[in-house]
This record gives sequence, structure tokens and C-alpha cells, in this order.
Amino acid sequence: MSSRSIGPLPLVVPFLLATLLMVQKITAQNVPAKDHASLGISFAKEGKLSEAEQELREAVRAAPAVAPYRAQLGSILGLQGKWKEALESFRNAIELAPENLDFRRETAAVEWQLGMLSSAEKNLQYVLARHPADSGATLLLGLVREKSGDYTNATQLLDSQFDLVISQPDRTVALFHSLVQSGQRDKIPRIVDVLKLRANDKQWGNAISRCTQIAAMGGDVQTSGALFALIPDDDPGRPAAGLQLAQLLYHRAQVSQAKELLLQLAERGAVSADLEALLGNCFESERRPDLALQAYQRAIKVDPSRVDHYEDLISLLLYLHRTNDALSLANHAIQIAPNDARPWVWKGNVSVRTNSSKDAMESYRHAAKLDSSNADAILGVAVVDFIAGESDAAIAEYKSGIARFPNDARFYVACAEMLMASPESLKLQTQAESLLQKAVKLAPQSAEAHYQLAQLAMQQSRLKDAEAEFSLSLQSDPDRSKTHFALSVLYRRMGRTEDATKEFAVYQDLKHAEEGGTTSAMVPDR
Amino acid sequence: MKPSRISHSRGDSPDRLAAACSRRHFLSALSAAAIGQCFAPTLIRADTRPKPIFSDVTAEAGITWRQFNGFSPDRYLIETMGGGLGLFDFDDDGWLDIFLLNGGETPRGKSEEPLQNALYRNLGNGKFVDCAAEAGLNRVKHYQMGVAAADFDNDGHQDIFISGFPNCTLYHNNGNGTFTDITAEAGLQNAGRWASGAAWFDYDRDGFLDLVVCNYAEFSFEGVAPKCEYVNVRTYCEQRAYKGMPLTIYHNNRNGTFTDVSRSSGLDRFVGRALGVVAIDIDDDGWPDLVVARDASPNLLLLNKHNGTFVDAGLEAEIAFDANGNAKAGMGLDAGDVNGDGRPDVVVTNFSFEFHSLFLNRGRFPFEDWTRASHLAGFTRPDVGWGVHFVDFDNDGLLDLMIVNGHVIEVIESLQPQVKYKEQPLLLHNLGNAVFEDVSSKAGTAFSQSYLARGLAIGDWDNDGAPDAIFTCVGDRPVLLRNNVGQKNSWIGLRLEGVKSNRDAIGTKLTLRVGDRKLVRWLTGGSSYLSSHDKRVLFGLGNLTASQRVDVEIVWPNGGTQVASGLEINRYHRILEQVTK
Repeated sequence: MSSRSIGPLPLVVPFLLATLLMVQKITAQNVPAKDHASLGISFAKEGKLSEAEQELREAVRAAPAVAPYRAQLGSILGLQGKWKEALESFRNAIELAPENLDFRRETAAVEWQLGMLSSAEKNLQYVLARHPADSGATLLLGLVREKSGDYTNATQLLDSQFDLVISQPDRTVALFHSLVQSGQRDKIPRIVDVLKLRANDKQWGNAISRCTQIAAMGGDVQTSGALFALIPDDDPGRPAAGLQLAQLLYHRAQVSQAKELLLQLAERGAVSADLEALLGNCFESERRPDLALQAYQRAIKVDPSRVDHYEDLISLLLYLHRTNDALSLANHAIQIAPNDARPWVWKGNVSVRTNSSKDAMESYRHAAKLDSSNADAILGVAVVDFIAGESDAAIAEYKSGIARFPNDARFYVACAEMLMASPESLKLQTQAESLLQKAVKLAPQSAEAHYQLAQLAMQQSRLKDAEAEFSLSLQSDPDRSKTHFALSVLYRRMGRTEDATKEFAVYQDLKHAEEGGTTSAMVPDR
Repeated sequence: MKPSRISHSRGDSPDRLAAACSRRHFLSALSAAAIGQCFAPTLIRADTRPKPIFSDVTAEAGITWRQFNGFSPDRYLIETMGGGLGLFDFDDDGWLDIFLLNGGETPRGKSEEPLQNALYRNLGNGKFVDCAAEAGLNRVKHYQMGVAAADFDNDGHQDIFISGFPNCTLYHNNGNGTFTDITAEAGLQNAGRWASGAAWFDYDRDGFLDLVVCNYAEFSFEGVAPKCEYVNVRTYCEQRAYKGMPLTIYHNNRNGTFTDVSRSSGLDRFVGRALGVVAIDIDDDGWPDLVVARDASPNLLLLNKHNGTFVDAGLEAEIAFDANGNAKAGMGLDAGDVNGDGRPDVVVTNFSFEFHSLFLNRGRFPFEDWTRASHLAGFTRPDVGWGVHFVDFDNDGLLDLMIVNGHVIEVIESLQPQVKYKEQPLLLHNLGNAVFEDVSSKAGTAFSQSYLARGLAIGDWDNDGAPDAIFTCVGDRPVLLRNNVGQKNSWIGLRLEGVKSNRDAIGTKLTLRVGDRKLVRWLTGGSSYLSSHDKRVLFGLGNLTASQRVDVEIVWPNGGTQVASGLEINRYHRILEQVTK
């Protein structure tokens, strides 16, 4: 049977073919029905599925109580992608012959295809209860479990049918996915080896791309890199896989590798807003704001309706003190997505920078109204209160934010920061410390939380504790000038003059880069 | 002592009557029903309500002069930064006079009338008269910033250094009520720079006052002014829009000329936006050091290495930056022993929400940031501070604080409701151990009004032993304050005269002992913001009785020590440096 006649083969096709091709042991009561059925199967073998369907419909019409005809019709329908009709036919067959394991198995295959996983599971359990060694049912159950997210069981089931699995790309992807998700990384190389053997088979190109992405999403740099290398240059899945890998590299702080990969993809014609956006992130990490700017602008040009990509560009423009441009862009984003809270938050951020507190407050409040779950909007309101000198109001907002977003560490950190900046901070240290401890429980990587804890420790002359907290802060964010400055102060107090001098030098470089010469809207706009 | 206006009909000597009719004795006399003895009959119906701590006597004193700042659509930052003044006795008659420095014109900020400085001569009766023209001080030769008055040539008369842009000016006091511009001969033009605060001090202890000049920023009236807006209203750019400049230090050659020793001293390495400077021996090694307040540049603590060079210990002292490594907007500063431990502490005024800073000198590095513990943080949170001075206004022996404030951005109130454009001055009373309470509400009408205040000078201009004050306002009249409460406590004032040391005795450390109490004061150079102060040193003695005597140990700038023993209180004493051959 030619695959050309039915397009890309769904994973369950082999099961359907089995039904069709099985020897029919039908007690024919109705000769015309049998003829129609035989003719239908012949047509099916020739790839004439529509004719085959017609004949099997006639067979069913002529002999409605004959379960195999129903099942065969179901197969034909399935091969044509008419899954719902196929399911109906198969279910009818089961009604007529509930003990028929093949019918159950095929039905499960169609149910899997339709995402009706619990029904599929029921049918497969029925089969396996009566025939535990049923490899087809075992394999299918594995696929069902994979789709259900029960990856450990899925792995077990699919792995038990390893040869069957690796004979087909989608099944291989399913097993690979289950292995990654269940953390069974020791078994992954075996799959990689399988894929390596099939790297030149175009039918496996998509599977390799998908496995690359799965590995990348699972955080496995080595595997995703190895798989990516197998993807042919002209494979349509290559750009998506490459992007996923680049994202992983970027988040693992392997920025230059990420950047090189992205540039490679772009050179080879990949056009994607996400690609350009990530490239922009890489350039920013490398402190190349000019190139980052261009990349972000390209991201927006590729897909102007994707509001997501406006945020990076707006932030960068603010960093470059191009506040007018940032404001224009924020307003544009609002036009594109007026009911999306995020552009309003960005506009609020720009307004804060341009000291337009009233506009900022309006924007943040509007964002909060559009999306009460947008924590950035609430944070923004509090920031405006703080800037306006309304510290009590800011603290109240942060505390309210803590109540509404108890797992968002930013509120705890910001509230603690406010308490420590207060004129009465000496009396508020205990409260601040408690908030910061909660913050680090929620977000152990929070550079700011550790920084504030360090400052508290310094104020209390717990110098060793302060050193530990500064180190943790720098681990999360090594490029904050204030951390290096504070560490230099600490070292000086500890008598470690050389270390103090080193840290101060780092602080000066970073500060210079942060300020870019000027820091606020109260300098001539560029 | 304030001379009385009584008749001598009872045959009493003028001096005795003068003593009897000092403010302290007036109160006693009043209570003893000797009302008619000391005062003219019209005063019998005088207002007996408790007086505020300070009275605004500007109008009463006859001060009508107004500063012109060259306000223009271009919003040059210099327009909002000036406001220098000096309190010094220019004519050596024993009464402090007031020198008020005008700002200047800008390309599009012209004055309708010729700009004049004012030199208000103290008539001794609460009145002043402007004699700047006669003195030769009226002309405004460049955009002017600050005043540093001192006797640089040790001839016994106060000379005047005026900082500004693009030049500075040095006026020599001729001793006859007139001044001569000797800038060029002296070599103190400081050409091409925007100079701000300045301080006279004898850094090499050769007996002649040298001069340190703070230079603020690279600046020009030519070309297009940097344009900044706040809510679409053009206003002044923040200081970071202007690149800082190095300090300048001039060595007094003892012959009427000065040499720029900025390079050899190392001071030219310190590039930043310097505004306020105070010269004081911070580490008690007998040599004067410098503390420099810089605007969004790290503050400096320049330790005198005794060899003509200085090294910055701002980082070690932890006064350079805030805890996060940000350089605050340091404008004015002062140094004095605020917690009674005998070591000079430092106060610096900053921008709104930065808090004005108080650093306690613990005798080692780092200094302790006492800003919050003193409550200064809470009192100064929304303020933009300029002139500041430690002043024992009530003469209880503890140094209090006076601060004058005023914002820079005209539209600030529309953006930050808690911040005002014109701001109120602050009077903070020291409760002991450098913890303050805000007594501004009892300090008089001047403290409940709002100003664009800048310079602040402290001095006992009515010679009653209670320190008075005067502050300037951008584009407006100054405010002259008379202290009404200091006389309720005992005090002693010392006017020092160096012989081997510089004649003004700038750099002297004085330690007063009475019983088990020890009060330490310094005669500093510079301090506050763009202002020059009374060089007499006042000690508040609290409730010491008049019969008690005090001893004062004096460490002269050149290192010699001297003890003035058994000094009578509630009067000024002139102390001449003893020089052993």
C-alpha cells in the first residue's frame, strides 16, 4: 500500500492495516455483502481508499450485524483520516463482537489518535487482561501513557516493545520523550544511536528534530547538541530545533554558543521572530546594545502582531535612555493588543523613567484592571508610590501583593527593600529579614534577596554571614555593580584590603557600564 | 556686649550699664520690677509672649538686597546653584558685617538694573547699611557663587575670595573700609572653571592661609544649553549631565601671590562635581584635612600627609558612597563634635529621598553612618539641602543643626507630592549623643515659610553670645535671623589671633573643661555651602553660673598648645597665640 495515497502515516496506521489485512473468517450469510467487502479490501490494497470505503459501506448496509465489515470500514475510514467516523465504526464492531481483541486494539488506536485516552486505556486493558503478551496493545498502551503524562509507565511499556518502537519515527519520539520526562537519562544514548543510524532517512528527519527539541526542553545540552548535528540542513524542522537548543544554551549562560547557532540558522535562511529576539538577548548579554537593538527590531518586523517581543526592545531603549522611542513603542504595542495587560505595564515602566508618575500610575492600574493576576502591574503601582515619596502606600501595596501573590518572591524582596530604605529602618530589621528569608525560600536564586540579607548582616556586624550572602547574590547575578561595591566595603572592614580593591575595581567598571554616562530622564534625551 | 540706650543720669558707668542691660540682665531686671531702669518707656508695653528661637529680622535690619540668578529659558544649571554670603567683620569694629554675593547674568537672563553685591555694615544696633559701593565690592565681575573670607596676608583684616564662573576674584582688604581686586597679581583667577565652595586653611602650617577651591563641572554659556524636560516642561538638567572637574589648591607664597599646587598635592586627581568643603583636622594629628561634599560624585576625605600631599580616605571612612555604591548629591557640609566624644563628625546635605547624612567619627575607619539613628533621615527625607551648620543655638553645650533647603525643579510638586519646590529650613535640637528632635515649629516664622535657600552662615552678629544666622535664597532676599534663646544659658566666646600660626587661627582646636565636662570645638575653614562664618568660637555652657570660670586648652594650627585658664563666662575673650622663643 502506497503511503502517497494517504499522506504522512499516522502512528496508528499499522494497527488499522492489520485489521484490513487479517484473514477474514467471516461466516457469510449474505453473499452480496461478502462481495462488497472483498472488493473493498482489494480497492484498499490498491490504495483506492474512497472506492474501498464505498464498498465496505455497502457491505455494512447489506450485513449490518457482521462485525468485521464494521471494523474494516473503520480501518478504511481511519486510513483516510476520518477518525471520528472510524471510531464509530469500530465501536459498532465492538458492540457486535465485544470479545474481539483486534477490534478493541484498533478502537484504542483510533481513540488514542483522537486524544480519548481513558477510553483507549480501557480497551487496551481489556486486551491485555486476556492476552498479556499482546505487543500491539502493549505498545499502544505505552503511547497512551506517554500522552497522558505518565512517563515512567510509558517508558516501561514502550521499552518492552523496543524493536517495534524504533521501527517507526513517531513511536521513537514518544519513547524518547518519556525517557527525558521521567529522567531516565541513562537510556537516552540508546535512542540517540538509533537516530544516528537513521539520520540519512528523510522519513526520520522530523523525528530527529523533535527529539532535539525535547532534549533541549529537558535541559540536556549534550544530547540536544548531538541530535541537532544529525538534522539535515534542508530539514524543515531544523530551525525550530536549533532555536530550542539555542535557548537552552543561552539559559545555561553559554551565550556565545547560542549566538553562533542563531547566526548560523539565520544565515541559512531561518526567519523567525523568536530567533531574532533570542539573538537580541545574546547581544545584550555580550553588552552589544546596538546589535541587540537591531535584532529586536527585526523580531518585531518579522511578526509585528507578536506583542511578546516588544518588551525586550522597550527595556533596551530605556536602558539606552531613548525614552521617547520606548514610549512610542509601548503605545504601539497597546494599539496592537489593547486588552493585553503587558503593554500597559511596559508603558508604565517607560512613564516611570520619564518621571511621568501620573501616567505611570494610570498605566499600571489599567494593566491590573485588565489582568488582576499580573503581578508586574501591582509592583509597578508600588514603585510609583515609592517614587512619589509615598513610602507607606508603597509598603501597603507590597504587602497586599504578598497576600495576592504569596509565591512571588519579588514582593517580599521589594517590601524588605522599602523597609530597609526607610528612615526607621533600624527598627524594621527583623521584619525585613523575615521577608527576605521567605523570598529566598521561594526563589533561592534571587540575587536581590541575598544582597539585602547581606546588607542586613553587615549592619548587624555579622561579617561572615554577609560575605556568604553576597557570594550567593553574585552567583545569581555577577554583574551588579552594587554587590561588588558592598563586597568591597565588607572586605575593607575585614581588613582584606587587596580583595576590597579588586572588588571596587569591578564595581567601577560595572557602574560605568550601567550608567552609560547618565542615569535618568533628567539628562538630555538622545 | 550690647550697648545700652539708657541715659547716664544715675551716674553709672557706660560699661556697667552695658553689662547690666545685656539681655540676661534685662530678664532679671524685669522680674525684679526694675522695669524703668534700663529701657525707654515705650518698651514697658513690649510683647511678653515667649519669643521663638529665632526671629526673622531681615526687614527690621534694613536688608533689602535681592539676589539675581540670571534665570533664563535656557535653564543653565548655574542659575539655581548660587547664593554665597559671608559673615565677617570687614571694618574691625567688633561687629559682624554681612557680605551678600549676587549671581550673575546669563545669555538670555539679563537684569534690568546693574547687578550689585551688598556689603551690609553692622551698625551695632540691629541695623545694617549697604556700603558695598564705597568698599569697592559692589561690582559683579563674573557669575558668582561663593564667599570665603579670611586674612590671607595676616595684616589683621578680612580679605574676600569670591568663587564663580568663568573666574574667581580675590579682594584685599585695605584696612580702611575699602577693598582692592588683586586677583591677577595673586594668581587666583582659577580661569575657565566653574568654582563653587572654597576654604582657607593652612595645609603646610607655615602660618599663612592657603586656599582650596571646589570646581563643580565643565560648563559654558556658549553653544546650545543641554535641554532637559520634566513632564514636557523645560527645566534644569540633573548634575550628571555635566562632567566633573578636579579640585584646585593654591599655596600662599606669603608675598601676596599664590601658586597652584594642585598637581603636586595630588588634588588634581580628584575629578568630580565638588560643591562644599570644610578644612578640619579629622584624624587629630595636628594637620588640617579636607572633607569635600560632591554632587553625584563620591565625597572625599582628604588626609593631609604633612608633606604637601593628600590622600583620599573617603572609601575607608565609608563617606564616599551610600551602602549601594551610589554617590549622593552632596552639596553642603560641616564638621564638629556632635556626640561629645572629642572627635569631629561630619554632616552632609543631599537630595530629596537621599537623607542628609551624619557620619560619626569613631577615631578609626569606618565612620559610623548615624543618619537614621540620629533621626536626621526622617527629618530630611523630602528635602534638597544646601547650607548646613552645627550650631549650639541654645548654648546647652550640645551642637544642634541648622539646615536650609530648596529644590531645583520647578515642577517637582506635580510629580512627587511629598516634595516641595520651595522648602522650609530645619532646626534640629541635639538631645544628647547626636540624637535630634525637630524644633522647627518653635524656631520662628522663618522656619515655617518656604524658600529656595542655598547659603547659610552662622555668627553672633549682635554680640550677645547666642549664635545667629543668615541664609540666602535664589532670586530673592536673604533671611537674617536673630537668636532669642541662647542667652538663657551661659556661654563663652573666644576670638583667636595667631602669631606664629595664621592670624585668623583657622585650624585651631579648642577643648574647654569645666568640672568633668569637656567640650571640643574647631575653628574650621570653609563649611556649609558657599558661605563664610563668624570666626569666633562660641561654647554653650548650659546652666553654669556666672561666677564659675573655665579653662580652655588651645592647640594652634602650627602645633603649639596653650591653656587659657580661669576665663570669665558670658563674654568674649581675645586670645593671642603665645609663642615661646
